[in-house]
Order: sequence, then structure tokens, then C-alpha cells
Amino acid sequence: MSSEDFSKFREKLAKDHRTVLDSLLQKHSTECKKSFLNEIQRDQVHSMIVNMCAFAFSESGPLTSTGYHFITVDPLYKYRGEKEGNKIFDIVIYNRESKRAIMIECKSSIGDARKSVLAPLADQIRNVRDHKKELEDEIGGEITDFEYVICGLSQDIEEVGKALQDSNEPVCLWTVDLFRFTLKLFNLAGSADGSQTGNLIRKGQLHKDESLRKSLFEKTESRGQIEGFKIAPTSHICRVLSRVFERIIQEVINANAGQEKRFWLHELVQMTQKELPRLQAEDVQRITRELYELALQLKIVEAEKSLDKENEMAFVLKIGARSPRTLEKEINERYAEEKCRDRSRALALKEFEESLKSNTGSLDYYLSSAAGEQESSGATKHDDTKRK
Amino acid sequence: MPLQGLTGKLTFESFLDSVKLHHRNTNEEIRILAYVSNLTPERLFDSMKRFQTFNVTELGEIVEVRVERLSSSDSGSALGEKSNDSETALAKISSTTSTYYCHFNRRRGLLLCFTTDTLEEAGRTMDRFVNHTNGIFPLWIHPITFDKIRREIQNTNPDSIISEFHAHRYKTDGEDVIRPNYEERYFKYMADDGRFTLDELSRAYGVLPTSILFNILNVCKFRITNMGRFAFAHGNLDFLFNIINEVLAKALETKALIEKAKIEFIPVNMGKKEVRLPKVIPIDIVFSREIDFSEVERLVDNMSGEDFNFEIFDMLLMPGSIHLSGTIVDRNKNIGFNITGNSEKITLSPRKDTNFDSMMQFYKMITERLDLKAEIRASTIT
Repeated sequence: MSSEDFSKFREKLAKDHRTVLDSLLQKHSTECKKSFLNEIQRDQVHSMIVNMCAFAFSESGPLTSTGYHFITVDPLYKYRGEKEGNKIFDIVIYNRESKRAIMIECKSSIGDARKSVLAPLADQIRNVRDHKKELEDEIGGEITDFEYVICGLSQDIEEVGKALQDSNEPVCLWTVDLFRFTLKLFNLAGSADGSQTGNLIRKGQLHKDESLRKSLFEKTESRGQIEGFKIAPTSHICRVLSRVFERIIQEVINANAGQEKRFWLHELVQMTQKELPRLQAEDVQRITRELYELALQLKIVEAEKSLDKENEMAFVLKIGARSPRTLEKEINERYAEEKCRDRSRALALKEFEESLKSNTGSLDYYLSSAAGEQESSGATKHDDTKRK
Repeated sequence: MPLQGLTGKLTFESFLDSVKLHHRNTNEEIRILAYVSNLTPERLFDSMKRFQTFNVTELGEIVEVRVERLSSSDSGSALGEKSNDSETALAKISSTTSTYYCHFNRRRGLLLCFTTDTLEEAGRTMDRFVNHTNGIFPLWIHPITFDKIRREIQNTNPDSIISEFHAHRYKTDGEDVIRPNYEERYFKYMADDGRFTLDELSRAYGVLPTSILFNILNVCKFRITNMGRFAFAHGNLDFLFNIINEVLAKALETKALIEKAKIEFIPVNMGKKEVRLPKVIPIDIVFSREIDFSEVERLVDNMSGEDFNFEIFDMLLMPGSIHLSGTIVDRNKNIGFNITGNSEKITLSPRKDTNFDSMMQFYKMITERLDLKAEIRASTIT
């Protein structure tokens, strides 16, 4: 139902029922916005897990001694495919001695371990094998062997571990503790004592590299944050927008010290590049376009016709405060409002109709009762006047 | 007559001789503002030249900074008197010129600015510049370290008199003091028994000095603060310089620790080709006690103050034993860095353009607002 139809429908209702519909709309709108904020938080947790894995293997990270190097995030971003929900691994780490690449999938939450983690794994692995050459180009070295990892919160990984016990998916499990900032290899089938090592290695459920196994069975603290990898191209668009616009405010608008809140498209491209440094130029251009289109839609910016640079777009920030936190809040609220408007109307209407059916069995009854109410309210007014 | 009007090419030594001579002739108090900086002299003086209200002249090793200050004066107008005359209105706004003579010792990263302006006015004028320039920070030392220096001065000079001090209480835990819940205490005390009173107040109310006026008979009368502001009233100027050196040594220790933090992309040969991979060295602010979730909540909601203006965004804050992560923006300096933290420590990971001063300011804020005894440490990961 369009916004106009909804308003018309609402107007036709009796006052009491309008109140009911309004409160249902309010309820669904609040729930929807809350679920959107949870979505953002899940994305932040996901990025945090990605960063903990990345930092641990970065050039000064605590696990560099294992010989593995963190290479990049979303390594097969270009080959993610168009299919909705098509998953690519989040990180690749590489050991140039053993020529082994480890593909890591990070999970902020896991519902059904078998359905949401193990079942899609075969497709993900096929995608990696199909694009081995492109991965080698990205890494800068030959790959002779792959290993795969699912990394998530302890309670979730325990569930995956249970599901994996009677399966043969070639995947190792890592856990993170977000409160202690630690990373650890999950002790699958009591593998830490060595009794199952050979068996699990053969199944691809434990790392072949002994030094990596040993280091990861110890808890490793990983707290550092790597600029440029705080978000990935697959991160939530609101977070990407907030982070890129934070740089626009700090590095362009405030740095120019003027009163104008104007910036150019090429500056937006530069800031996107800073937040997503490993991305190819064409992807940066595309993501930048998505960002300003969203910013225009949310009325965060206004486009301006450039007088002196005909071929380039200029934008003016429409948010009063030059504060990244205020900007982030505005982006999230306006995005939630935009996304939730239709959904909450539809849900409110559905629930309203269901409640009518269960109470009276007919919507017509309510509409006619509304008409009756209007008449009787007119009569009441008349009576009141008489009394006066 | 204020300290001004110097000309020619000066060395730092010849300038100090002029200062001493000026002081002998006028008995005027000399105020010194000290800053640490990792800028090159060229960049530092270029920033000064470009700063809106500064008028800069180079005099050899010294740079003269003249600042026009406008102040309104109502002294001539009777209460309720109206004036429509714009000239009269303008006449009420008087302009004064403040002069600062600055010397930058690149090797030690120390900028000293001499003036006869009051410390408050000089601080306000120079702080406007320092608070908005990357790579420079007041010669701040931790209040506990400052108190140690105070005690050392007292111990080596038993006859010293503290005739004035300012003392603040900072957030600590488990202190045995009067009404410990009152965390924001401030005392200003003026009397010659200051050294005794300071100890008494410290014990009873848990305060630490931030500014002290010392009078060491027949040696020197001077004021020291933990924010790099000093004043020389009379006596031996070199005595004060020795103390400034001691403060500098402490400030440089903190600066050196903070400067270990960096991010760079280094080339690594992967067999077929070299790829540039990130190398991040974070630093830790380690708490002296377990921090509560509510304390962190309060901190992140209020991170601006007289001399700092931080904000956090893309923040994830979870209760329990606390997970905090996000990006901190220093809104004064337009600089950002990333943090992760829990109830034990906060780790600061720099971005490419993060300078030491924003992280030092953040550490100062943590000691003032969250845990006075928090220590800055190089990250244990190397």
C-alpha cells in the first residue's frame, strides 16, 4: 500500500481504531529501527572479528612468527557474484614458505550452524578454487595448498564444532573473545592433546602447520586496529558512509577552515580510497557513487552544479554540526526511517487487519462503525450545545 | 615596559642576556610557556606565520610573535549611559599588543616562549595556536610526577617556601580521604605555610598540585605548573631552567612512548612479487584498577573539556567485562585514531596522519577523567 493509500485508509477509520493503528505503526516502526541498529551492531562485531584476525597476522602482529602474513580483507570481492547471499571469505593469510593460503570466514552470530555455516561452505570453497590465479595475483605468491577457517564467538563456534563432528567439511575453527581481545584455535574433538591431530589434519579440520597450531592453541591477544581495514567493501553501507564522511569533515571541510561545507566528487573518491585502500579503482568509483546516491537520498548532502569545474560534481553537507558522531547518528536514523517506513506500515496494517478479523471477522464492520461513530460524534456535539 | 622591541640577529644565549637585563631594569616577572613538538623549525614557524592573529618576525634563533588583542573598556561610561556614536563605541574597544619571543630547540623538541603577559593571558593566546596545530603539545606532565618534582625541590631546598598553590582532585579509587565521593575538588591556597598545607590537603582531600609558587630564599622565586607554564619573579633564572629541564625529561619519556605508535605499509616479498602489507604498532593505556562499564559510558559521552575536544564514532560498547572499540576524532586538530578497550586497558592504534599530541591529549584526558594512575605503555606486542 502506498503512503497515500495508507493515509486515506487511516482517515476512514474511527478515532479509536485510528489510535490502534497508530500505536501499531509506532510499535513496528520502533521494532524495525531497533532491528536496523542491531544490524549495524552485528556488522561492527563482524568487523571487529575480522580486525582481530587481521592484526594478529599483520607485520607487527603477535602471530607473525608463525610465518603467515595478513594479506587483505574480502580477497575475492571482485568475484563475489551477483547472487544474493553469495558469500566470499573475509580474509586471506598466506605463508610464503609452505605456499599455503588460509581463507578465513568471520561470523558475528550463527543461527543454525549446519544451515548457515557448513552448507554454504562448499560453494565458497569452489569459488576460491575457481579463482586461485586471481588470488595468487593478489597475494603475490604461488598457492599450493588451501586451508579454510570459520572464526566466531565461543558459544557459536561450539555449535559449529558439534555440527562438524559428524561431517567432513574441511574447515578449522577459531574463536574470539571480544572482552579479552583474544583469538584461539577451537579444541575440536579434544584435538589440543594431539590424539586426534592426524585424523583432523587429514579432514582439513586442523592446521597442518605445527607452529600455527601451537600458537593458536595458546590464547593470543589481538587488540590493534588497522587503518584501511576497519571496514570492508561488504560492510554495512551506513558504516561505510559514516566513515568516509568523517574523513570528508576532518580532512576536507574542517581542514579548509572556511565556513563552506562544500566538497568535490574527487575528494569523496579519495576518502573512499583511504577507507578501502585495497580496492580496485573501478570498485572505488562504484562504491563512491553508491555512497553519494544514498547521501542524496537521505538528504545528508545536496548536489551542486559546479560553476568552475563543469565536469565534476560538488556536494554541500546539509548537517549542521561538523561532528562525525552527529553525522553518524543522522545517517543511521534517516536510513532506518527510510527503510522502515514501508515495512512498518505493512506490518502495522497486517496486524491491524488480523486483530479485526479475530475480533469481529470483518474490516467492513470497522469502517461502517467508523462512519457511525462520526455521525454519533456529531450528535454528541449537538447534545452538548443543547446542554449549554 | 613589557618585554618587547628586540631587533637584530639573536642567539638563544644573547636573547637570555637581554631577558635578564630587562628583568634587572624593570623587575618585571618573566613568564615562560613551554611546549614539546616533533615539527621541523621551518614547519613550526610556518604554522605560526599562517596563524590568523600572529604577526611573526624572525630574529635569528628567536622568533618574535606579536598578537593584537582587542579588549572592551567600559570605564568611561556611566551606568545606563547610551551611546549611539560608533566612534565612541570603537574608542571603548582598546587594543593591546602582546609580544612573545620563541625559541625552538629542534634536538630536544622544546619550544619556549617568553613574555611579560600574565600566564593566563599568554596561555589563552598561545593555546589557541597550539590546540589547533598538529605536532605540538604543552609541556604537560602527569600530576603525580609533578608532585614528585615538587617534593624533590623541597627536599633539596629545605628552606623553600610555597606561598601559593592550586591543587585538584582526580579520579582514583580506594583512597582514604574525607568524603571520597567528591571527585571534583579544587583548592587555591595563598599563604607562606603552603608546603605544609599542601601535604595536609593532599592527605585529607586527595588533591594534587597543578601550580606552585616557590620562594627559595636567596636563590629564586618562581612558579611552576604541570601544563608547561612557568614564571620567574626574581633570583637565578638558571635555577628555573634546571627545573624546566627536569620537567622536559619526564614529558619526553611520555612522548617517546607515544611516538612508538605507528602504522606503515612495508614491502614484503611473497615469492612472485612484493606486496605492501600493514604494520601497526599500537600503544596501551593500562588502568591501575578495574574500570566499570558506567565509567566508560560516562567517558565516551563527554570527551570535551577546556583544552580538548574528542569524539568517538563507529563505536561498539558492550557491557560485561567491557568491550569498547571505535574511532576517536580529535576535533581541535582534525586527527583520528582507533581504540579498543576493556576494563583493564585501552589500546590506541594510530592512523597514518595521527601525531603524538592527539594521543598524549587523550592519555591526559584518561588520567583526569577515568583513572589518575593509568599508565601509558608501549604495546607488549612487537
